[in-house]
Amino acid sequence: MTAWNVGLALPEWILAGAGLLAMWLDARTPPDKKDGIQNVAWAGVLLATLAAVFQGVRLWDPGDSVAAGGGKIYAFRGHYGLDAFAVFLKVLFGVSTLLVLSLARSWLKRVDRGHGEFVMLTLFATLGMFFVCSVEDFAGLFVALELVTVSFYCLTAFKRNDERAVEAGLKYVVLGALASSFLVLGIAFVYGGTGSLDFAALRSDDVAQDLAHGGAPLLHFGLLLVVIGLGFKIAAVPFHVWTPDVYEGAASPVTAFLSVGSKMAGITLLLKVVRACLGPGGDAGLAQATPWILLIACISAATLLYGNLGALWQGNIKRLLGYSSIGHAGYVLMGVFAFDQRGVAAILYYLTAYLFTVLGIFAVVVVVSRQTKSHSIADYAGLARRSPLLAFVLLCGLLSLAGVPPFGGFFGKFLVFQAVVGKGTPTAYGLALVGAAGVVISLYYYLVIVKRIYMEEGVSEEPIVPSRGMKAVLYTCLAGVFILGIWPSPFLELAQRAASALSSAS
Amino acid sequence: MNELTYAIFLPLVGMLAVLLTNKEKPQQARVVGFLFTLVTFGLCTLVALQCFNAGDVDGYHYRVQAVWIDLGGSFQVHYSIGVDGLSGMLIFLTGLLGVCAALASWNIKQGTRGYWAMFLLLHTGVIGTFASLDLFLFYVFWEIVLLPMYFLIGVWGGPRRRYAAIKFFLYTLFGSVFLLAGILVTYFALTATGSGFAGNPFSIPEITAYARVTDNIMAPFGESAHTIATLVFWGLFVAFAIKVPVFPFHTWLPDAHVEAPTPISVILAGILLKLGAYGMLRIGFPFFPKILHEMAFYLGVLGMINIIYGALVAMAQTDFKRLVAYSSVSHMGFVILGFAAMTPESLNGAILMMFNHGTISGLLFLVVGVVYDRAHHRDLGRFGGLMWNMPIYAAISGVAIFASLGLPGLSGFIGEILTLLGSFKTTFYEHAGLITVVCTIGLVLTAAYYLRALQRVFLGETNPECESFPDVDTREIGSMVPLLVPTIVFGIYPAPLIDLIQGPVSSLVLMVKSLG
Amino acid sequence: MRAIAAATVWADNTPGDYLPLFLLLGLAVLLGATQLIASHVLGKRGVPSPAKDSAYECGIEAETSAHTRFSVKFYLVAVLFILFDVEVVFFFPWAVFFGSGDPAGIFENRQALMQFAFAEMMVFLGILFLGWYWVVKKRALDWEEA
Repeated sequence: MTAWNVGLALPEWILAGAGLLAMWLDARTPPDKKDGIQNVAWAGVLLATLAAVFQGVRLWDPGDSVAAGGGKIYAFRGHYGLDAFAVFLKVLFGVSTLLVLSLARSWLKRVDRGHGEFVMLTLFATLGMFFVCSVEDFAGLFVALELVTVSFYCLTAFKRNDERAVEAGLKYVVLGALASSFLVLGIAFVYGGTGSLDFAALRSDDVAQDLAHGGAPLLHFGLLLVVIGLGFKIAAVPFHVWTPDVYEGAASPVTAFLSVGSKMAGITLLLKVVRACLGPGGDAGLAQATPWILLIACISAATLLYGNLGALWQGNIKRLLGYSSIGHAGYVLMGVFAFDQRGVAAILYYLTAYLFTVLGIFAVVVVVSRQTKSHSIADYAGLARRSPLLAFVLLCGLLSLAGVPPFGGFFGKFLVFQAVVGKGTPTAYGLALVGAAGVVISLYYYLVIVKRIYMEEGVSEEPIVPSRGMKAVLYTCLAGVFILGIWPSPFLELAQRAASALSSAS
Repeated sequence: MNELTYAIFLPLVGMLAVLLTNKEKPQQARVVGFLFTLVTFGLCTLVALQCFNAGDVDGYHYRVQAVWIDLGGSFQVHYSIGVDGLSGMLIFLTGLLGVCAALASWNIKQGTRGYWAMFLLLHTGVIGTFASLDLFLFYVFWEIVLLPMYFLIGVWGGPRRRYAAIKFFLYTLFGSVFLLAGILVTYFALTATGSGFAGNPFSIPEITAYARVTDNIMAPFGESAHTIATLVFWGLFVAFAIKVPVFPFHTWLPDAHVEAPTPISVILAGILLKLGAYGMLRIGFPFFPKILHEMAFYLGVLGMINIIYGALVAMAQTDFKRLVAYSSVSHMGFVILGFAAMTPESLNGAILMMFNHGTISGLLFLVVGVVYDRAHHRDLGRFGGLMWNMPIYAAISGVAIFASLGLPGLSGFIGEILTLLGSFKTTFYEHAGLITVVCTIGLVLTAAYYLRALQRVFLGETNPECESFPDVDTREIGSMVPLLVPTIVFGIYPAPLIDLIQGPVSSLVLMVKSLG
Repeated sequence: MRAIAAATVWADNTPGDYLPLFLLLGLAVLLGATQLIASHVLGKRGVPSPAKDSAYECGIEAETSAHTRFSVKFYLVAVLFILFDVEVVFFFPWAVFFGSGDPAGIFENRQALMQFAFAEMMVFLGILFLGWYWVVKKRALDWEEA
């Protein structure tokens, strides 16, 4: 715990280096020669992801010294921890950034300025996401999360001549700042309650006793504020109001990154904090506190109902995806509600499937909007004729979001429901029922889009041809969605190991 | 790997093959698609023939079991398939109707490749569902059926196809949610501490066997075990009832049938409705025999409502296809009635009804399709005297209609009469006799609406609008004859079918007997 | 592990420990309320007039609207100033912490402490200067050019 072990943060070093290098290059190259920066960013993220994979391989090798000691190693004198959970999420973040960068490459061709800034901000946000996976205390949590969020403030308002983008950026800044202040105040109260910023301090037996039986009211209050702060990031009701506007206003690749990266970062931290509140064994603390269980259940139910009902009336595909992403936060919270290892594994699998699904859909949105100059769902009519590939990716993506087999999203949902029903309490059954209602509702609005793309005549018959880079993204996401649905075992095993690493974290 | 696996996945290969054909030459897609359908039918026949032999240990043939998804602990999903007489018969029906529907699909002009790809995918889903012996696998195949059906109705259907397609999808998915919930609760009950179950909590045969020897598979839930078992029973029932469809979940059916293109209506009525009934026999009832005993009365009532209500609504129809659709609702009521009674006669009757309704309603939809192709409408008031200029067509239609209204000597009769006999004398639930007597009124109503339709379409003066209609051509005859043959043959000699389903029926009867 | 001196003091806190905080809060609310109520009770109701409603600018009458547009450059420079200013503020905790020796006993000896402190600040400054370099190269500080 007291070692510096600086080399452990290799992926972060690589990302930080790539970010700074990109900044240096951006300062030195003329505006029309920014392709090199994109390559640097791509290579940097790829290397960082590979480094994380490599660390994961070592971490999971039982013969390796690293795996000894509970499978978790620390760096920076205990402020930075690496276990299977962290590695799993880092790889997810890495993959999503790679896909987003590839998505953005063809999109940036249409933007006349700021290529370097876009890449830099993406890299810094990714750096923040990587740190999010490894933070071991509330100070680190705050800094890492802000690094992500502040980068996203700028990215949201990236199209600075577009009124909607600026409006979205402003809304995001104001509400994000509000959320951050909740978060910091909560951290202050938690510090007051435990005398330490470390997650480990929350995990002690005494604190678990307090949490389970309503002792230490200020600690409870602090945790409530922390949950509110993180609830903003993952767009849980009632802290979701920014989502549809920001999703609609921001540029499509940014929205894609926001709905995957930013949301996953919030979820990662939520899982880490919740785990810290479950006592040393992972079954005490909040897991026994009825009001907290009810609170999470209510937030979850409200979130998934609001998201799915709100999406019913949307005519803009990005707004619709915004609402649907609120709904998905609700399903993730169902996994949190389970307060156990099974729930965490379910969430991790859910996120993996969600990543490929959402990025695939956004890739379609980017390609289509380039040609139609519109995000209206009505303009997707007849897409199947204009580009069978795009239509098919959109179809698979939407059905995966809805949770229809044999697509990846189905298994995510299944595992989450399994974790919840496995609780066996009336609350759990109620929540599962609400979740099921959400699935049926969501299917309706997804099907309406499917109906448009396959069964209606479009205004134009002009074919839409995705670029080669875009095709690569589309095929990758499609493969991800299918493989996760048909051959889930290996990924499940990884998710389960990651979840057990989180549960046994000492 | 065996013939059953091939039968499930060959259509999937066919789908890919169809997608690889030349887009500009739709004939290629037709030929490739048809060939795959034909070979699949051959495999289905092999599978069904195998089911005549008893011999396998647990009563299933072509048993395959391999781990598919391993979540650690008891959560292992298997690729577990096998057929007994019941599923073998239905798989045979699938292959048979598949070939007929494929022939009837020749005049699909738009998006031919997509159509045939979906058509073949549908086969995979349906055969897979019938063959699955793992709950999870069953669910996955069950859902796979939805997708191609949604497209087949929504893209190639009639004027209100989009509405019908979404309605169909949402209704069925609503049921699927209950199915999934039921599977999960069962899983947790079987793996909970205090459960005496040691096997695989997804294996349908193992759970069925366990349900025989234990009082309630939900026992680990303690005091609320009975309530939960009842809830799960009804949840599963709703999931399957939507497909059957049982009143009040039937409203998707007329829309879907009417809007679907002819071959898809054939498959919808002939096979998809049987999926629901099959699910009840395979999962819903054997898992909860005691609850079934308690609830049999309500099932009987639901069956009765279906029969009478379906027949009454059918009487009011002016659209030929809608009439046939509602007649399906009515006929599937007999199936539910037979299930509720749980006597050997009623079960034999109900299962025969499933098969025969499959062939007869398929035939009827083909009949409607033929006249629709010529007239481009289905208004019963605008036909008349078709028997004069379309004699072959009229003859085939006559057989189909008389078979459907239960004329002795044709296959519809035998199922209905056995069901009614069994239902009348059953002691499985109270007031069965009364309910059965009410149901017999349905027979009269059926005869009424069918004879009226027959009169208005085929008899009388030839309507001037219809004078130019040519008689059925070779392809159309080809698509009808395979259904006409079993309608007549099994009407005269139903023994092979009864032979085939003897195993499953006797095991269900044994289950009921053990209830005392 | 991290021996923050305050931690032990706060470890067994009770809500009572927050009493000063609540006292301060109460005082603040009281003060605000008193002023508002006092002015309401004691103050005279004036009659509005154009002279009374006009903006007060050193006794001179306002000539133009206050809503004039500023060049965005002002904001840019101001923001950059604040940014770098705030970064410099980080020097203080750095100096205080490392100036106080090593109360937590993190480092082996004084030399190790010095080395670490120096390296840390150099990295920090390096990033800061890279940012500054970027700002200059992006011509954010050039007043003339658009």
